[in-house]
Amino acid sequence: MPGLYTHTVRNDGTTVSALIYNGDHQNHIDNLIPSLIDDYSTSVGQMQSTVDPGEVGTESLAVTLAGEVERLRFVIKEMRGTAQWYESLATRVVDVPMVFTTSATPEVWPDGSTTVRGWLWKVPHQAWVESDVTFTFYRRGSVSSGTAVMNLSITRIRKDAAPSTFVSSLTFNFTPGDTNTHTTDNVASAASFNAGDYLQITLTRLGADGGDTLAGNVLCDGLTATLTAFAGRP
Amino acid sequence: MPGLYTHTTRTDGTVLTGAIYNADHQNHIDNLIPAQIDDYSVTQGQMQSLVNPGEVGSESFALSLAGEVERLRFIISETKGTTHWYTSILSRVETLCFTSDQLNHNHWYNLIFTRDVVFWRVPESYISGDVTLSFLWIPTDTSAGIAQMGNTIKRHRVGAASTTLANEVTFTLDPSTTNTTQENFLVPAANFTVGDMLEFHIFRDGGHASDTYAGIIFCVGVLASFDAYAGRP
Repeated sequence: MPGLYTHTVRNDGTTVSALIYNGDHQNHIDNLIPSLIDDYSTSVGQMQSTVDPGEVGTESLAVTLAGEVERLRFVIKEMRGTAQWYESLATRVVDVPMVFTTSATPEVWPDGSTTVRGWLWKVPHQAWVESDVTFTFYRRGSVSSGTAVMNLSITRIRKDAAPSTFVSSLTFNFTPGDTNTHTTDNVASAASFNAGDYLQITLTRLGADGGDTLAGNVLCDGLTATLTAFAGRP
Repeated sequence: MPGLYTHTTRTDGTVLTGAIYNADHQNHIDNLIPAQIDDYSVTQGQMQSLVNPGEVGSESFALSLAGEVERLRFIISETKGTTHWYTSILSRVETLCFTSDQLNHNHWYNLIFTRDVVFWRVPESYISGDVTLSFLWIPTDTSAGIAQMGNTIKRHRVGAASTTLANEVTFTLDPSTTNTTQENFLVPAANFTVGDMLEFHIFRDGGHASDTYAGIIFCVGVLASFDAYAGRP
């Protein structure tokens, strides 16, 4: 579409007086305001159009207002890490810090004894969209055969409230089959916590249990939380 | 530059019909689209121009569309933490959480073996380039001797065997000052990608014959430094 205003249509034979002539030109100037200039979103494709402005020293200078809009969109998209500049939500994967272990070697759940490993994660205040969070446990066997008997607990810690364990000794055994790194997910229901709560996650190996047949170490290669977050919000 | 369109040049003696008159005015309106309006990046300096829109209650109103563009650029620049609104890369330092194999967390003693372990997932904000893993330390005193240290770096990738990038590489610390000191370890970019887990061990081999420092080394922090997309969490 063109500009979002009209001009007065003149007919043949009209005497173009100074009043008419000047008024018709002034009309263009008076309407040269952002709300009467056409958009740059006439289609989904145009709305999604972006151009990389480059870096300092290798700038890509815009040559039209459309180019300015495209470059601003590009930078917004780059900051948010989304496919389109206006997408509100993004999947975010964050490290969950390990805060304690009863193992003599921090990265190991040994065979033959009970070993607890604990992590603590704060549900982000601003970024978290109130949806389930997936905890992904990275585990590896020092040997490929057997099953390690393990269980998982998750406790919600909230200011001025008693701790609430909403996952309690859930069977979380590990059967590696090889010595590669493997992941196992646990989905924590959003109904169990709020933004600002701390979640204490403990994963225990019952290495002395009769059912524990993995004759070696289970190695911890990390823990991540995957959540739906407002794109770009820390 | 002015608008990016032209008008029909009329010559003396032309009869200004309604059709001509109206078409000449409609031409202005028809070209009032972003693709026919000039940019606000005539020069590098103009492309970098920013204006702070202020805060709620102390707003700085734009007086032109250029001013609107400048204020949008300012907010982008402020969010990214870069001087220029279009700078993509920003050096980022993250503090990592470490777990020690000692009850006295972060104490590395003489005569015994002490180790701290860190896990770090290479984040989506990582762009490219090497990552530097660092630890900051202070000694209990500046008495004579050196501490025999070492580090191990492993990479874990789902469905793949773990790769040891540095295996018990030894180095020494000379506690000649009680100032905080930083030791850096480079992890070449060729060894990892976004989503990989890096496992970083730092240890003191206090029982080693070469460890002659009788004091305690305190680990006061572990860091990861890398190039990230500016403004991306």
